[in-house]
Amino acid sequence: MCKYFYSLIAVGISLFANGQNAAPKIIKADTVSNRFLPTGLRIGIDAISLIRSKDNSFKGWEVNFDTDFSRYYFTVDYGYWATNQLLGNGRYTNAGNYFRVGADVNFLLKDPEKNMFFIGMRYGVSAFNESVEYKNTPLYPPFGPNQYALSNGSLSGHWLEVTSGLRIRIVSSFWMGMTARLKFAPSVSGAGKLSPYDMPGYGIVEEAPYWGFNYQLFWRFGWRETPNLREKK
Amino acid sequence: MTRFILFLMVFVGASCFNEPDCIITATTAIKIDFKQTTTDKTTLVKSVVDSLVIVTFAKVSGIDTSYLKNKTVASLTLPINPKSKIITYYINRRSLSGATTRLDSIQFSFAEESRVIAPKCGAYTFFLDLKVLQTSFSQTQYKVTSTRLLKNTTNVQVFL
Repeated sequence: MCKYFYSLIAVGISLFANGQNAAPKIIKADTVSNRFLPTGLRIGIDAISLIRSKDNSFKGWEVNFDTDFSRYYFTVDYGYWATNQLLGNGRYTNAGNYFRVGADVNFLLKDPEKNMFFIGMRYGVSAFNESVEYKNTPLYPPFGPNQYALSNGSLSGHWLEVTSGLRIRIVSSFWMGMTARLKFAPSVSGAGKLSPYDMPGYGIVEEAPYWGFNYQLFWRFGWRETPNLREKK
Repeated sequence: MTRFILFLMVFVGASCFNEPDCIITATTAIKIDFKQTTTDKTTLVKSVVDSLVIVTFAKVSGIDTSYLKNKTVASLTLPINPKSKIITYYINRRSLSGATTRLDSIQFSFAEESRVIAPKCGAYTFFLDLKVLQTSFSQTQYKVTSTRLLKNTTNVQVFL
């Protein structure tokens, strides 16, 4: 199913490429000298984390910040993620904080509403702990079932992401957005006899690449007019 | 149009959260294959083939009774005790002709690692770093082929 997502991105890029045929003329107005100065700060929350937190097996939140430097956006995400999962033969819990830093490139420069279709990169860092309790029955019954209780007290990990998504201005300073994340190259250090399973901010460590998705609600605090990057036809 | 794309991406994105497959490869047994080297008389090419032996009994340390008795096999799958990090097997075997009988022993050590496969599959202990500590087989008579205890995987080849 995820292949359709790639197709969607490809369609988005091709639409953007079509738009280039018009050979837009760059405005050489007074915006040029200060176009790389940020015009505002967008602060958002991830709605999916909050909705998932209604379930007993997940507690979490994520806040997102981005600010513009012309068509480039510097982004920071910070979040908390804790799971309490009932396993087929026991229970797994984890909790930890994470952050991501990165940049997005906006491909909708002509949009009068300043909506965004972006592609970006992130570097994620997570600090977390996890524990598991479970029962295994050996092949030879006389050895009896074994009860295990293991934990990793202080784990740290990092990963990379390629991101894509939209930011849509709904009304005034209120924006909605979504970010799809293709996460890869996870690495975790500090593990003992329990192999790290679920890294907050990333997901299942043994699966790479791993998909993530955020549906975000933003408020933008602007402090100056956004300069037009392209002249309208 | 942008709102339509927004709606579409929500559903496409949500569909990417797939449940992993429930494939459990962990096992609590060591697989020993009996092999012999044969030489083709015409080409003089050496090859390794399975060797059938009659195991009159196989005992596992910690268990008083024999694990198996009087079986003709080319490989043995012997259980480990997950509560212990060392296990010894005693294998009494007889040649197919019945001419010779021999009692061998082999002692292994191993480490363990716990892994959560998926919530619905559960967590499992994987045994790894398999080492031969002591054995009555000579050094050239056995070979550790896999240090991880996995289903359908030979751990040791014994050349008869």
